[in-house]
Amino acid sequence: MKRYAVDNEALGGNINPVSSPEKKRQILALSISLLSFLLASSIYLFYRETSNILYQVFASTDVSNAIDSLRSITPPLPPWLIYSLPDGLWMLSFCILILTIWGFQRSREAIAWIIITLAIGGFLEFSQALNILPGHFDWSDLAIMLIAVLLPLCFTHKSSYR
Amino acid sequence: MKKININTLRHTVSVGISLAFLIMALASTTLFIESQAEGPCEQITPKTVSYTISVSVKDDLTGNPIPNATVNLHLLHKRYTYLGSSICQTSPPVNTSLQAVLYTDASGVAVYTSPALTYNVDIDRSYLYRG
Repeated sequence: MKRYAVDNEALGGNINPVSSPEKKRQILALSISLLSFLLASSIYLFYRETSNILYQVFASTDVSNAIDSLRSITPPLPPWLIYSLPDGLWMLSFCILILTIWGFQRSREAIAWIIITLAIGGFLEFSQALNILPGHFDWSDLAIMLIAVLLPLCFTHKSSYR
Repeated sequence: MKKININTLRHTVSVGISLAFLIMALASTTLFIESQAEGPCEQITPKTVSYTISVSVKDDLTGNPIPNATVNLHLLHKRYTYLGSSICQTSPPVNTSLQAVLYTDASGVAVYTSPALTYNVDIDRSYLYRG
């Protein structure tokens, strides 16, 4: 297998092998990211109207009957949980992934990427307000997205390199 | 041995994830609501109201009306309150009226139709009125 060396010099020579606690944190972060994504997808699958793409994908498979059965017994949820939370969960999943890639460091690059993620979410929401994209603009969506972006930032630490 | 700057690798992966996120969000947005028409926005006191909605379905390719297409109409108050859904069977003549009863005020009522991926579903706002 061809191996590539990490350009340690370009990073100021501060790259150390990934320590065990660091690895555990990465695994935990990726698990939360995956869970957020799956939870958001489940809300789409079991609570949103059946015309959504995720339901349509599953409807064409053998598990469609099981999904329909589960949809009929799912307990009612507050509307914000059905319509706003998935946006936040997707954003959370996205942010955690980005921060994991950047080592949960508060570096300029990581902050720039977090701003980009927020810009993408904001663009999608404001596009609905301007009727560029179908859907309904909602301030609560934006608020939840902002929380989803800020929450993982609390677990970052100062960058060890410039 | 070829050297790869780890930051370049991180940027590349970040671009990939961002694109995937954007595509996923766009796909779910555009396919989730196939077509929509906003209702009148005047405030009324909550009571049983009814709307009559005319729906015409045309073939995308030929432009010919489809006489027996089934259209599901989902009525929602703003985006939160699901008011119910009705099935509109467009039979000759193509423009068929549908009566739907709402149990809330009429502010921001939206009508969602499905499927519309293979049909053009035209809902004229002028047909949306309080009965």
